[in-house]
Amino acid sequence: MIKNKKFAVLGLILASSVVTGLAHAGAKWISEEVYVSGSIARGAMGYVRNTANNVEYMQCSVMGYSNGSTPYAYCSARNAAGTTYSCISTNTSVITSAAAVSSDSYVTLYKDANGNCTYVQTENGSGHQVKNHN
Amino acid sequence: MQNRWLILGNSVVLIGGLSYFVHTSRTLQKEMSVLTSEVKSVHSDSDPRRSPPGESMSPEAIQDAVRRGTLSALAATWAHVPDQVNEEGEVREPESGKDEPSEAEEASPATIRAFDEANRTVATALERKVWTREDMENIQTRFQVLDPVSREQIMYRLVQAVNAQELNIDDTRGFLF
Repeated sequence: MIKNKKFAVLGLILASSVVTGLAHAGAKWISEEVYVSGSIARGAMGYVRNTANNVEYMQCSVMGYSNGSTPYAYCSARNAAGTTYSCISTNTSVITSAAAVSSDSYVTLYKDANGNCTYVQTENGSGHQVKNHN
Repeated sequence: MQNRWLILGNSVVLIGGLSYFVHTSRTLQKEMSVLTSEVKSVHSDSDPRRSPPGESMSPEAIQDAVRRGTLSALAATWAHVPDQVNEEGEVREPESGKDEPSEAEEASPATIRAFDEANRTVATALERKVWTREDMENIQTRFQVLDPVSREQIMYRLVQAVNAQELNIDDTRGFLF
């Protein structure tokens, strides 16, 4: 009887620890590899960094010149198939969004036929895969 | 007694109103004479239909002067308002190429040389289909000298080559500039 009670308590502790563990995990979005097609490119920075292949990448940079000009944003990406995507912009709104990209962001890019970034969406959230520090 | 105070009060109000009217009339008179002289000088400079010297101004001429004064005041006010304001009153950022130098500004020899060298770098890279670190450093240096329009021209040329899969940018870790 005492033995059964011990098992019951142990089981309860185990079950509660599993439940607590799950509750602490939080929502996780399914990370995607870099997607490039026509005018769109998107991908999760953390996932791309952690992926086994050394083909995919996604990045944005912001440049400033002192000789009378607005800054520039440049974003580029490459999918697993090796298709490269790039765009630039002088639009302040796009530059602000590009500057907010971090190594754990989920980024969506749109460009026009001339290579202008027409839309840069930077998502920073707990659901996205974080890059391993290696 | 009450009537006396009433009369005194009314008199004060009347005198005050009268003196204000006189003051305003004088001010208006002064402003009109300034406008008249300004219009005369403008007419004598440019308008062949100007009035003979000493002739009083016609009502049309006065209206014209007032209009000119109003327009110049408006122009002075709008000079401080940004060029691109949308209907909601928000200031829009200039689009690509809008900050180009005016026609009066001539490109310096250094700028022309930088543009030529940058174009040569791009042409060579497009021929070999590879963008190297040296190319990127070369362009970074030239871009610091180039005017925004020339800079963007080269930027778009490179971006379009990358999107057409005609330029490999592995050596520069996916960056161009």
